[in-house]
Amino acid sequence: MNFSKLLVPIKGISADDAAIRLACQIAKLNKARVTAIHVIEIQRNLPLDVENEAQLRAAELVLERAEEIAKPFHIAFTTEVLQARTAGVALVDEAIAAGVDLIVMGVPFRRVVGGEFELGATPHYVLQHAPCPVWLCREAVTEETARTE
Amino acid sequence: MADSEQSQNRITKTNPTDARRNGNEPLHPDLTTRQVQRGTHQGDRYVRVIRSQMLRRVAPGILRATEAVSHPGGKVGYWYTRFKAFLVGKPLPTAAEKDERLNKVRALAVLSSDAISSSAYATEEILLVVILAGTAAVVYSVPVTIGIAVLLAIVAFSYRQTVHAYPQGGGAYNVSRENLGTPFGLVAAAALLVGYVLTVAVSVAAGTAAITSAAQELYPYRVEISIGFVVLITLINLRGIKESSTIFALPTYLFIFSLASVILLGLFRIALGEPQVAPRLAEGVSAVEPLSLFLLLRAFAAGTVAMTGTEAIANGVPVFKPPESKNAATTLTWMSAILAFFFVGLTYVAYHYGITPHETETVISQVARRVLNNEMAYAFFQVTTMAILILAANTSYFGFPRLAYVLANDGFMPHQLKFRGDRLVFTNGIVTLGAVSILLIVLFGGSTHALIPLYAVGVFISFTLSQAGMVRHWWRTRTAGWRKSMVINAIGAALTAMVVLVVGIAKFALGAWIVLVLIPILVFLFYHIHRHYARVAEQLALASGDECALAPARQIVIVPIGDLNKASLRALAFARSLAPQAIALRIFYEPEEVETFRQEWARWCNGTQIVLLESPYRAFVEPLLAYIEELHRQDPAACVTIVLPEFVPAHWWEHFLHNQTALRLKTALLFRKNTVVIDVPYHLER
Repeated sequence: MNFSKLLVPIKGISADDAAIRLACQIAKLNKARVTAIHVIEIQRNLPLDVENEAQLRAAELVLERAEEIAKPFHIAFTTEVLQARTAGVALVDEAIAAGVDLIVMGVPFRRVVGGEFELGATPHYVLQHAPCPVWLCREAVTEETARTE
Repeated sequence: MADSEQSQNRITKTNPTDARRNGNEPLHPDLTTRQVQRGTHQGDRYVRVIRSQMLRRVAPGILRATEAVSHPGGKVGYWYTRFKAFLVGKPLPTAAEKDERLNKVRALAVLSSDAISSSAYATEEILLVVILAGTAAVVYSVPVTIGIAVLLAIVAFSYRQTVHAYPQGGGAYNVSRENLGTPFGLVAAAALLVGYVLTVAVSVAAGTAAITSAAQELYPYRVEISIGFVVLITLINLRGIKESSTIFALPTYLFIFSLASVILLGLFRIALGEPQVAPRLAEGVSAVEPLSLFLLLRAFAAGTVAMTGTEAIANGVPVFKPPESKNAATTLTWMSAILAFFFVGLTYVAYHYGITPHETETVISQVARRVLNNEMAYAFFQVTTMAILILAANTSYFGFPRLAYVLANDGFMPHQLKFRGDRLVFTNGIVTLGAVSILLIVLFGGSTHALIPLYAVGVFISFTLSQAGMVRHWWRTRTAGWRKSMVINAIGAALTAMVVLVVGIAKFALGAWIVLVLIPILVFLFYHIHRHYARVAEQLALASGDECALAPARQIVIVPIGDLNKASLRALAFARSLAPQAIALRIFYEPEEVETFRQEWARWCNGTQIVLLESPYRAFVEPLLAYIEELHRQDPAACVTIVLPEFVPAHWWEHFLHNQTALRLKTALLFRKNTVVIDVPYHLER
């Protein structure tokens, strides 16, 4: 499979790291570009283009970390910040607008009450609606996450 | 939460690019804008926060440049960046400074190579003096060495106090300046700077001498080889302190291991009862002096070369990992202990085996040959000795730039020496040290013997001032145990002052006078530089009443133009945006040009003032300057702004095909008071 544009949604969780590394490895093999996107979710009682300094700073820190991880791969790596009501919708819309070939997402391991594995709203929406392939990197199960039933 | 609510405010314009084109969108100086995007489904919208990838927004109004900004564009820029990264490594951010700090093991390698390497020749320096009184006097080499080891302990003790009292570094300079006054501090600094330069020149010349002794066909190229070594050590040091310590740690520790092995093996054999050998004079050497106190003092002074480099740790406390002072003090103790053991041990083993200086073989080499009794082991030992002699220069590469930085910070050396380069080292200080050392090597033809007499004087002047400063320090602070510390420092000061006197007298004619002349000259220069910076600061300092400095000044705007073209029209438009009454000035050489030019002017620039200035002697710059002068005289308080139209050719080599009129004019106006020169470039596409 050949990919030229990859998108990695970044949430600022530990599962992001493996997804960034995987995307960078694929990009290195395919000489592709990677865009890491952090979506700031805006509450419905606020305007969509509201300026929230704290959230923007948090987004910058999360993306700086992504750049640090990507640096050793020496690939074309850019970062974006979006503001949306729901992250999944913005990610799919951006993937379509940018003509992305592959979305690589980090997914944490977590269970809801009752012990069922919970994928989360954003990966679920992206899996359902993204026109391109979506690869999920679920983080390894640790003792701590395994206990959260 | 309250903060974030306060900072929330609506961005009303959603497409800044279009709006800016219309001229009604304010600029965003922090380079962050928001753009509303339509989603794929009806009603779906999201906002793209447009940020610069090169300059990152850290907080409102605060940006931070990324590494990519430092990379110049274009092919030449790309290859320059690659070449520079190959030579000195990739740039490090300031935040990486904590990672560049050294632990005690690395610091010992970087900061002790000078001091430890001196054990390779200090014993020989003593023997060379005592042997003048015959072989019977060789026995005094051991007590003289022990005396120097005691002095080393006193100086090290003093510097241990210094690193705790002055954690910002600076060593002898800071101690002397604070306790004895600025002139003494500057004398100590000048002496140390001279010492550092000499260390590089002497150690590199000594290392080169070892190579040219082994391969004598290289002897005619000794200056070139020495320069090559200086360039190499300079480049390695430009790569950053951590990397240079990694590169230099191995040879330093190999030398420590091999010399310790030689001494311990020698002592072991002696303990097993190996008989003592009576010393014999080398062929052609005879006793020429009676044994006297002055001879022993000279031997003592000669042996104190072992102590050069002891101050490096006290100068560079901030480079240690926290707790900086504690780690620096521990490393200083390690270094002094190793040096004292090597020095006393080597002298004792040499004495036991009756080894005396020889014209063709060093004392340390004779000891190693005798003790190891194995060609391979001996060859390995010689290689490590040669490496440590060259690497002794590295301690200076650490000490000189740091001391220069401290002096520059206090306004006694040019501020350029405060500059830290890509790898967080004081680039200008390192390059300056390399350049001055090369100059010295060239001047002295790469000869060690010619340089050594200059060597110890400067270092011991700084030791003396530092010890004396500590005496005053104890007297002033009177902390716990101050009496004992003060007595120790006073003894140290007296002994090191005696060394200065003895070396100064004994080696004055051999070249020590150069250092004694150089130090006052440097101090004089320091004061002049300081006076300049004080004058600049005084003239630039804001005082009450300067608030009105922000009031707009009246401007006289002049646009010198040649032909009427796109470049000159752009400059005129820019000038009129500054002042609607901007004056265009055209210099012409033939009266016939006037009418044609007037017609052209009326067509393209109607409404802009034009002055036509005839220059019958075909000069351009001078009539223009005269006009500016005359016009300015009408309103001397006004600021004259010269707006220069300048077209920029598409290729660099095409510059040679054009008159550099704008450049000539800029040069002529550079020092004119109350004059601003603005270039309005017009970039040609092909």
